[in-house]
Amino acid sequence: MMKKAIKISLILVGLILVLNIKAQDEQAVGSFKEVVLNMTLSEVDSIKTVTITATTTENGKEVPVAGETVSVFVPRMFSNFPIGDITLDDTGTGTIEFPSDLPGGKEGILTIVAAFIDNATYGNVEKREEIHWGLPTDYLPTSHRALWTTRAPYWMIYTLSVLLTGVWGHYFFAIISLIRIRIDAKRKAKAEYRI
Amino acid sequence: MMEADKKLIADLTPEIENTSIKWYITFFVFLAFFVVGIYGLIQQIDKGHIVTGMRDNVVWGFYIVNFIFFMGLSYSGALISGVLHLFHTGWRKPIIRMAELITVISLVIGPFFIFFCIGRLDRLHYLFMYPRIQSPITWDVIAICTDLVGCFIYLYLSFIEDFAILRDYPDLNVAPWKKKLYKILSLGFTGTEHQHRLLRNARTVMAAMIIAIAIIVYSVLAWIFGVTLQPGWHSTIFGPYFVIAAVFSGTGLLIILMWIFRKVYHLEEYITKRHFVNVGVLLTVIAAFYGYFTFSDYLTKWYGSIKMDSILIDKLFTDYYSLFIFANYIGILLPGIIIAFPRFRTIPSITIAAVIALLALWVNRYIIVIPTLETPFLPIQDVRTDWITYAPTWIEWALTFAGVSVFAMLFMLVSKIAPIISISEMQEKDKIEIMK
Amino acid sequence: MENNETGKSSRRNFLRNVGIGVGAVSVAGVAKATLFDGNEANAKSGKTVKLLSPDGTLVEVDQSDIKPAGTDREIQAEVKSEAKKGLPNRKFAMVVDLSKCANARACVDACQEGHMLPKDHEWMKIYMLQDDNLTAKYWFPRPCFHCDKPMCVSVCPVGATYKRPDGIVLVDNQRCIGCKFCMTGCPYSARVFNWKDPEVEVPEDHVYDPETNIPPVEGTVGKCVFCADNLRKGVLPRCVQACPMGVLYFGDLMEDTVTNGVETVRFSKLMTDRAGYRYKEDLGTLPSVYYLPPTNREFPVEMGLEGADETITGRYKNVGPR
Repeated sequence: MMKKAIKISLILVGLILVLNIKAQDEQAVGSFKEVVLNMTLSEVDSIKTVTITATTTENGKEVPVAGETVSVFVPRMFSNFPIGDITLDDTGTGTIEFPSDLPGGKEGILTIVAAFIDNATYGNVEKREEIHWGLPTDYLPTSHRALWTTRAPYWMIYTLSVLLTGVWGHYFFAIISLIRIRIDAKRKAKAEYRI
Repeated sequence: MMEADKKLIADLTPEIENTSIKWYITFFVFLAFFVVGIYGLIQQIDKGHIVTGMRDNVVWGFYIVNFIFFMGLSYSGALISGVLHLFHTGWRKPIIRMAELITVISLVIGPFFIFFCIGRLDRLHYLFMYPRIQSPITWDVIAICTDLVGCFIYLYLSFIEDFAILRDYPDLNVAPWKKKLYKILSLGFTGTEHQHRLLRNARTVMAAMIIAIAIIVYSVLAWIFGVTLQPGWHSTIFGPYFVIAAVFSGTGLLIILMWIFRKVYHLEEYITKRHFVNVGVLLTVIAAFYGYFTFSDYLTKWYGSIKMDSILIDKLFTDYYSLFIFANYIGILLPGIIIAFPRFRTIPSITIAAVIALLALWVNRYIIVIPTLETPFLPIQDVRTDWITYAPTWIEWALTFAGVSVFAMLFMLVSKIAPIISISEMQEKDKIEIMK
Repeated sequence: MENNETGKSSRRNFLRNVGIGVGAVSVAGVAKATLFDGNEANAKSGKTVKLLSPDGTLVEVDQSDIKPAGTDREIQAEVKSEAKKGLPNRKFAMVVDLSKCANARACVDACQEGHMLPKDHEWMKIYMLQDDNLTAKYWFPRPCFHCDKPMCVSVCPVGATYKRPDGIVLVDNQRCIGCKFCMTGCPYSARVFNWKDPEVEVPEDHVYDPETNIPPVEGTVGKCVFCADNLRKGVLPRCVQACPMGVLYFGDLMEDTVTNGVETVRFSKLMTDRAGYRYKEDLGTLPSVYYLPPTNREFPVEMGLEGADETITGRYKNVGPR
């Protein structure tokens, strides 16, 4: 009976050890801790503020993440435009003021991203929000008439048409005269022939 | 029946009837130049434009200079037969046909130099398929086409009577195909009052058109340069300047051809010293205008302190000094002096003055086009000399001479079909003189 | 350097797939109908292909029903029409920081490699300028300025060069007749001409795209295209990526943001703080390239001549005031 109990406990201890080692290995290889990023966007007296809260679960309890740096940026076409970096305080919260004069597409909508970038503990985590905090941009006219556009300015078309019609009209008159000379000569020749 | 004075016909038709050995030799010399030019052209098409002297900054060289030069020659017809026609000047009658021939032939040759300059000859038709009317080159294409058609019509109008005379002259000793040609081209013209009236009205209308078109064509050509921002080209005077230069070169060539044909076809009776003096005076007056425009252009550039203008003028007076002096001083003053003083006026001296004027004008085109391209806003920073300064290659020289040869050959060929002095015009003149 | 696959063949495949997708949807529709009707229109091969249609639905089509979207000509026309439209609602601009340029010429090399250019074609050119005897010399990289009032576009007689709504000026080497009027029209000497056969190996199924302008064509004009093919993929132009000093910034003026790959800044702020300007503003061509004056330089101008070839250093022997 004792022998059986010792065997079972040994196996159990072995299992626990192996599982622990495995768990430690996994941690060492690169599983990051889970973290939940929350972003609140608020505007008071036309001052825009971004508030970031980060919490992580430890032993089933929600623990605020303190002392880490969160980058806040607006993704642009080729890169991310940085708004700033927030260091989270003991309550896992940080705020940053957001500029009011960023251009933001036709409707003035901006995407704001708060992210851990290459964080040792948490890796890359981001939180995105879209909000109407940008200035609406006026886009360029798509078509007009100028020297460098496909369609020419009206005055050029009119001038060219008038000049060309005038000149070729006169040519037409000259050619008509030639035809009339021919007709006249033929008629004369016929008349002479008959005589 | 179109009748003509026997003497006129006897004097003016031998060249149509007989072809001398000298004619053949001269023709084949020109043909040789032409063949060399064609060989050069084939090299250029095969190896690309790298065989010319043009490079990334001086992208327009001899070909454009020749293009402007030949187009400019075409103005002589507009002046002599156009303007003087409207003024009913009598003395111009013997030289009308030569002037009109110069116009048409140089108008035919000029555009070929553009073709040599274009990188993709296989896409030439794009100019007609996809034209952009905001581009000065499109204006030029339209203007040249219009001018060509107009000048051909005008030339043909002046030929009709002569063809009718030749058709009806029984003793004309020419090949049958020529006789047939006269018959067809004369449209059965029989000299009735009605026909004469039709012809006269058509000629007056076309004369007015030719003058207008010639001014437009040459102004458009000037604006190809004038509307760009390049220093030296961005000048408001370019339009009138090019027109005056064109008239100048056309008149010079006219004098030269008068001398040549007078000598070769023994036309001393018809083209007299009086003609040389009159056209020479015309040359001097135009030279004065041309000199005034040139001086005005360069004075305003030199006086102001705009850097790019100063750099250009500097270049003209150092690298291009001799060419500048020849084109803008000698080319104006020498003809002026020769013709202004009655003591110096002889037929040979006037002809020499015309030759100098013509060469000076070619050089003038050169120093308008190339120095500007060698002084761009951003300096040329390169180690290769052929990219820094323009040096024409043998192909460009060969094609230039080929162009001149084609001009001469076409003239010689036309002189075998139609008399170089208009018989019908001379007849009218005689009639008027008899009536006086 | 990520410019070996320039995207043109992948674009063609993409278009082909789009076309196939569209075709597939219609074929799928027909197939559905025939299935419901109960007749088999063609002999099915039995092999099916899964395709994504443009509106996001996944369709499964029998392989024998797939046909390419259009002829080569239609694909070429489609490519050119997209090149003419450009990217919607963008206005591209470049900022050149003259205080950092040291004539490394990495931009020139990257550009030549990416566009299969011969060595003597420099779409990006580096000048050494000196405005006055008493002022300093500085390196001046000059791409095409993609002007808002482009003289080169105005004078082109056949419409081979055009300005598109996102600000980029392109050249269509299949339309260009080589008259070189645009080269005399450009006051900044930004265009180069193919004086001879560039002798470039062109892949078999290459579709000509003005956005890369590959390959250079003999007898036509070429110039910097702001790497419009890269822009379509959201990637910076090759010269901007290559510069080791971070001299070139690029971005969309509608977003008021420019980046040199390392730092991203607001364009308006950069202009205000660093007194940005345009070269020869008074010519009125309204360039899209802005310059930051060469102030607070950390190295002497001569550093740019060190270690360079004679053919490069020889260019700057006679630098003087203009």
